[in-house]
Amino acid sequence: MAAKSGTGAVARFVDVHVVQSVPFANLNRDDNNSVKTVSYGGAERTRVSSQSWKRAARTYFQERMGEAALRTRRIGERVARLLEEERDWPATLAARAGQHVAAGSSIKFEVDGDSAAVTTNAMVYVPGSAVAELADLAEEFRGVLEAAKDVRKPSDKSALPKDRIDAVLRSRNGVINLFGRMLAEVDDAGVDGAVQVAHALTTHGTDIELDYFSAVDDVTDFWGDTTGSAHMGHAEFSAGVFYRFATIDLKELADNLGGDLAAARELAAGFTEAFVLSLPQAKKTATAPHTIPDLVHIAVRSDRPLSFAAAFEKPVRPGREGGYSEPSRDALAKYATAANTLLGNRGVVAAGWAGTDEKNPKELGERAVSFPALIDTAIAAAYPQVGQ
Amino acid sequence: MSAEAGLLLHLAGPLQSWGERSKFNERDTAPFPTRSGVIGLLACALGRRRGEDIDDLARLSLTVRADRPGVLLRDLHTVGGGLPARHTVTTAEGKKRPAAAATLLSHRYYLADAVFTAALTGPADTLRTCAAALREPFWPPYLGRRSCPPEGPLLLGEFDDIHRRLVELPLARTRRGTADTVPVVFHGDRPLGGLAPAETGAPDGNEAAGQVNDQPLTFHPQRRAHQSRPRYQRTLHLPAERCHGLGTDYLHALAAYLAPHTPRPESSPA
Repeated sequence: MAAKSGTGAVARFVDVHVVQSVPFANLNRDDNNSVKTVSYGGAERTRVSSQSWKRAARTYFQERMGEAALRTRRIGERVARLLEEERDWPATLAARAGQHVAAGSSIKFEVDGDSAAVTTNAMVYVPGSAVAELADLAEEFRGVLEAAKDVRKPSDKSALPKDRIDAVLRSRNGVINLFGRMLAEVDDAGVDGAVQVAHALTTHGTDIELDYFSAVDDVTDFWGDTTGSAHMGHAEFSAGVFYRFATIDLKELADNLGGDLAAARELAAGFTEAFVLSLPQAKKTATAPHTIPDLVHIAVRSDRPLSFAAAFEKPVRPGREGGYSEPSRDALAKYATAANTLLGNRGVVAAGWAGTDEKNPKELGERAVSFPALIDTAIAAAYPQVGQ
Repeated sequence: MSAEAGLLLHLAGPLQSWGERSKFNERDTAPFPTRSGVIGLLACALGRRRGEDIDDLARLSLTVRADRPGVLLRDLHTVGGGLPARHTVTTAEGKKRPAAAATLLSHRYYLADAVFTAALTGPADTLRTCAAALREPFWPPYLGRRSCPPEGPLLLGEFDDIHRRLVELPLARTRRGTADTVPVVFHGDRPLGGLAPAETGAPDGNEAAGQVNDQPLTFHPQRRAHQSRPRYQRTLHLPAERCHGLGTDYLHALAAYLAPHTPRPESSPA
């Protein structure tokens, strides 16, 4: 990663560019089971929607970071169940603790006439770990809860401290800070995501393959009857080299985390790895398209995010020995030079790349030996440590 | 349209989407960048939060040249499929849908393969502020939807005779056939008669071609409101040699055209 020294520019965005070959697959289909496509530069390309790849990245990220989020109005019942099942609380006391948790936040609540469960009027959206934290709080106040009454109506007061419940409910997990809240909330507490992901598209025109298939019926097959099949149909697939782009808004991410730069570093690195290495899972059992990127280029910028999609606006032609991957990598390097020259080469705080190439495109910055090494140096340039 | 100062923007990317009347599950796109979309892009670059005052931006005038009108693309978008119930979309009552109905479908329309050149005119200080913000945006800008990042450069520069530039600037399209001229459509929020001398037998764009409901009053998430305004349209037949191809080729042509007029797009004025 070649970092410019002495520019003094503050890193604002991390742009991640990926060139990746995907063999015969259908990673993202529409309502007709057709491969999603897009016309670009007058050629029909295979497309994988941003929402599809974001979900793949989110899943990868959650598995790796061990994080999940809950979106619920039943946080109280969830805490009650945990106390009863995992911490051996008597059922009635656990239920009461749940009521007091739900009634104890600053969100208004209601009481269900049948189950006596207390639900918050608005949904909370919290890290999965919040349930255990609220259970810890109940443990701490167990004596108070044993002496308290059940919550029966919305005017009843909780025996638990409101500020401490609110603090847990306000905690947001990494996924929320990165991707924002994906859906409209009942209350006005949305979080705007700090990452932007573009639709992936092939660098060249693709033809959709119609795969005709038939299934053999084992019984007729055993009888030696070869005249029919048990089931016939067709499925669509395509193959190609994708260009993928995402950008991280460093300031927004740090703001979402209340200025915690250590957490911001961890999340930015976690997202970048997830974006680089994840793959949508559609039809994986039929196609096993599990490739890794041919090339990852990361640019840390102080001015603005800069997509290089236009490198492939003119559809890439196969190289002399065939194949789209190498000419795609060349086109990316060529365009990066043209775009950065036009913008006066300002705004790039650091740039580097890693990949399977034998060539060494200087235009993309310094070569890293591996994807993790590339990500580490990029994030170090994005959120510099004081005293570096 | 005497010589007016303004900003030129290059609105290009594989996909863009300029919603006009989107509600619930059908998310449409207008065939050109809307006023609300471009003003929203400026607000995003300036770091204005939703609900903040946008009156100064709403006063800017927008004229758009369709270098390539693009094609309409419908994208099927699902939410909540294959997830445990707690991760699916909640109903208005706060309940969850039954598993069989948990997946929400929406259709989102995009313009694929479109390129627009936009001219913004208005008070000089507002334009200066916007130009600075486009060079170093507060949030990542996008072409109508978060998943549609613009191809650089977004800001082509500040010009004194903006409408002449809007007509003259290299066209981001491939030259086809042997015709000497190519028809190029302009969309405006003001009469377009002053763009160029009248062409024989062609309308001069001084009569409103219709209404668009895209004048933003506020972007407040719960009180978002728009007003309608007249829409003007005019087709000019421009010299075919102004077509400068795609991608890197176009970038080089742009650099060659801009060099005498402006130090560099997005660079600070000398």
